[in-house]
Amino acid sequence: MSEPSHNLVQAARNNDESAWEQLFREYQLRLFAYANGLTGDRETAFDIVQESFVRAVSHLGSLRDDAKFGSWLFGIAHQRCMQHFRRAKREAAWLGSDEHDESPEGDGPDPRDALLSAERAEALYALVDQLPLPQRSALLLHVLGEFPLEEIAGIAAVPVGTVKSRLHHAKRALRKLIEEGNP
Amino acid sequence: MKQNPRDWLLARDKDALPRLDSIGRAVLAPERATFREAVVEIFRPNLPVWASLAVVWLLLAAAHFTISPQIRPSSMGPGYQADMVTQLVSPDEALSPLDHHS
Repeated sequence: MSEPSHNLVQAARNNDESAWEQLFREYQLRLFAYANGLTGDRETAFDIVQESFVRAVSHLGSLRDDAKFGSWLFGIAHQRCMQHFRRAKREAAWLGSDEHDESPEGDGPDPRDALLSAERAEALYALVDQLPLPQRSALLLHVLGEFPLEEIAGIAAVPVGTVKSRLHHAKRALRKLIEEGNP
Repeated sequence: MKQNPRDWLLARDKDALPRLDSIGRAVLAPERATFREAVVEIFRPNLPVWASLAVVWLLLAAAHFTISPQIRPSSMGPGYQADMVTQLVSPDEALSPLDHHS
């Protein structure tokens, strides 16, 4: 993900409204897609985006590294999503036991490259929606945010190895779908 | 144009952009938005009534300023309240209630 310039975040620190507008425009759709992909509920996703923006404006002072603004903002949205799941008491249903395999990504075609035809998009969406919450979160942060593993780990507050594992399982599920579609 | 999964995921939610724009604006200017909404809420439903009141107030103001200063009440001048007190009672009498508390 192209991080916003240091000057833009600095201007936002000085309550520059146009800087905030640019930052919001830069991230609003990706944040919404992330929240919508995680919760599966558009209204909840809108609420999460709004709460994330409000918190970002009021807590920008707590951001230590301007270059990490994107992952910091996604971290806020991620926390909101988790709060949503806790409130709805649905987290247990979503969580899967996917944290045992710490192996790195396997060989073979990368689904990000392989799934390059529009007719497979719906299949991708369907599969992403079916992934357990941690895998879905890691995959969406990887795809939407293009964050490095370390930043995804920071957002989800888990070790880097766990992120690797979750991405591995998510990609394996995607690869299975591709192979089933191309025997 | 070649698309990747990120483009597809974003394309799925592009119809949310107008509402996201308004959310961003509301977050940045809640006070301004609230004030604007309040003004609209108060005035728009009863616009003729508010317009009539404004005309009446303008007429009253015009009448007020066209009245000759000579016939305007002297009580409007500075020092009016102090004059009234000293005309009715002496300064000592006027301040005597305060002595009980000192």
